[in-house]
Amino acid sequence: MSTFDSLTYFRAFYQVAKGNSISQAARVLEVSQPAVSASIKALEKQLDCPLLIRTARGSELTPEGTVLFQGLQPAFSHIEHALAQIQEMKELQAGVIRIGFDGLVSSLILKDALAAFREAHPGVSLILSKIYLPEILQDLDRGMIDCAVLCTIQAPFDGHEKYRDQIRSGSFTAYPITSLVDDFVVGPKYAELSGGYTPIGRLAEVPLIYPTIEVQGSEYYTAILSRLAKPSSVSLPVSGALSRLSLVRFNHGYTYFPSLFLRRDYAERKLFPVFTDIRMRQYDLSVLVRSKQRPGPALDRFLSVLSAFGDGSA
Amino acid sequence: MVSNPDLYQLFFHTARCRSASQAAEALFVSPSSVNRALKQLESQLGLQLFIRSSTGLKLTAEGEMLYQKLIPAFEMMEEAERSVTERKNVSSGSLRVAVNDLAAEWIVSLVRDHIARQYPGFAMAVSTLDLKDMLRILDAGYVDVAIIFEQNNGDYTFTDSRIQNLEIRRTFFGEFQDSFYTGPASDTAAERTVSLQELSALPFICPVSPSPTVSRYLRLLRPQGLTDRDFPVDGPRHRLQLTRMGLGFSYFPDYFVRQEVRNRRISRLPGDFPTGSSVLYALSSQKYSVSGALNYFLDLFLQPIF
Repeated sequence: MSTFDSLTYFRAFYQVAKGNSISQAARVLEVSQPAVSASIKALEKQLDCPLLIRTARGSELTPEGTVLFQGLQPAFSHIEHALAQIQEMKELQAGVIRIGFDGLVSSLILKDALAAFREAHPGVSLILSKIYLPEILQDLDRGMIDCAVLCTIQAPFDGHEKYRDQIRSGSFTAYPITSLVDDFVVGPKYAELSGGYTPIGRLAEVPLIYPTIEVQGSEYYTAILSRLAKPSSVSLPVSGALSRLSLVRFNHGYTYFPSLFLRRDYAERKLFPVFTDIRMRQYDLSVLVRSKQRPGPALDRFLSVLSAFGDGSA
Repeated sequence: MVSNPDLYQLFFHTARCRSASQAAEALFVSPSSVNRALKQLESQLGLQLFIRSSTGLKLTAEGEMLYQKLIPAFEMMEEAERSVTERKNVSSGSLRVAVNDLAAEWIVSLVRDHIARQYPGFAMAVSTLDLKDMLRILDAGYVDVAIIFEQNNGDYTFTDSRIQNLEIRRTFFGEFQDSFYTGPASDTAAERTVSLQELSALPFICPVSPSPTVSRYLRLLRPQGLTDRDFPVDGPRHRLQLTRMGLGFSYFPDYFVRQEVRNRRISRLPGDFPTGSSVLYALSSQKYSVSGALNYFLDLFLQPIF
């Protein structure tokens, strides 16, 4: 008989030795007292030595029993510790979620969702990594991140189709968060461009403030706008979304940005949307997880917090 | 001097294992070539180094003396080989780095750019972590190293006893003083001291997210809060860009923008107002073996690469 077949016997012995009582052990193990006694006898027979001496006051350990108990104690306390940790993770008192996001737009939706999640579950650690397509899909597939928050531009605006195919054919499950559409925005000085319909030629007289690095097909707008731009209007490459919006607020030019994140600036009349005859880009925000693996409790909770943020509360 | 240094290598290994056949095996050569080499060495030196008997090889007194003198030389060669191979590991190495905020991320990105120029194959994954999660995540081995940049208030967020209990090692890189900077100065304008009043009149390029550093500067410069001329942006990288564009002023740790000043992309605004300083350090777990990549990475912070 191997050691692991004796695990039931060890458990019985451990509980008896720990509490110095067969009846107490039976209660903890949720079995009958004779079952506990039988386990101890079987173990004594197997090891061919007495482990317990039955006394009037209960049970006492023999020297062999003491050695066995001392050996079992750290092993069982490790097991108990692990079980307690798993319970904590189930109750979201502990845990780790490794979140990948593919850039600016994803980080904006994440920002509020993360704050809400952190407040509700302070015991869960969040590791955030910015990873661009297509590496983010490889990292998800290899298990280096637990979920990937992606912002993919809808057809026909750019070449994200290839990623969509990869997502479809890969072993991922996508949870949609929300769809977004860009607005052109200007600052107070150009507020008269806002309101009704503005010919794109008029907007193009204002300098364009565009992202320095854009992984997601900035060619779409620049191709249209460069044909229209007057020599007097200068384009300004700026890194960081907030920098771009700050510059627009101070009337240095106009830019384009998903309207979902601009509602407050519109309400406070810091920024103004400009509606033109150009079709604006549309994006899909979604979070991907591996299909082959059921999300753990923390990830599961995080996914529902994230999707709630897409449902209009953002 | 013996014509062929290879002879010493064969001698050294034979003397170490007291057997020509074992040495031959270790060096991937035939036993006969080892024997031939030993004879050649003996004839070139004009000395007998081994006594060959039926039970094996025995070193003569001269052989023993030569062997003892060669030990440090070979140890040095092995050590040299190790440090070079460690570099080889760096060129294709990988490192998972955690940072506590955008300022630390910015500093790490400067180091990353430096590494990328030297070793394009070096893979570095940078993630952002809350300070409260930092020790647990390091201890669990999710990241190899954490780079922490925090306001210097005479105390670390993580006390020595707390990190020692978890077998976490701290590598301190230094304390860095802030200054205020603005766009490039014209060549003729000398650096001139500005008053706090003059400074307060300029647009302030500041991070949107609250931090002790920002609040302190806001209290100093804008006791009544942000004005509508101020530029809130994402992080130091973006503050730097807008500062270069001459749209206002911002604060940076002097050390990390030295190159910007040297290249006349920004200029310092010296004044008699108090600026803060920050400390930069790394935390890594001693439970895991230290890779060549990690050593190289940590070393760079102590080099004048900025």
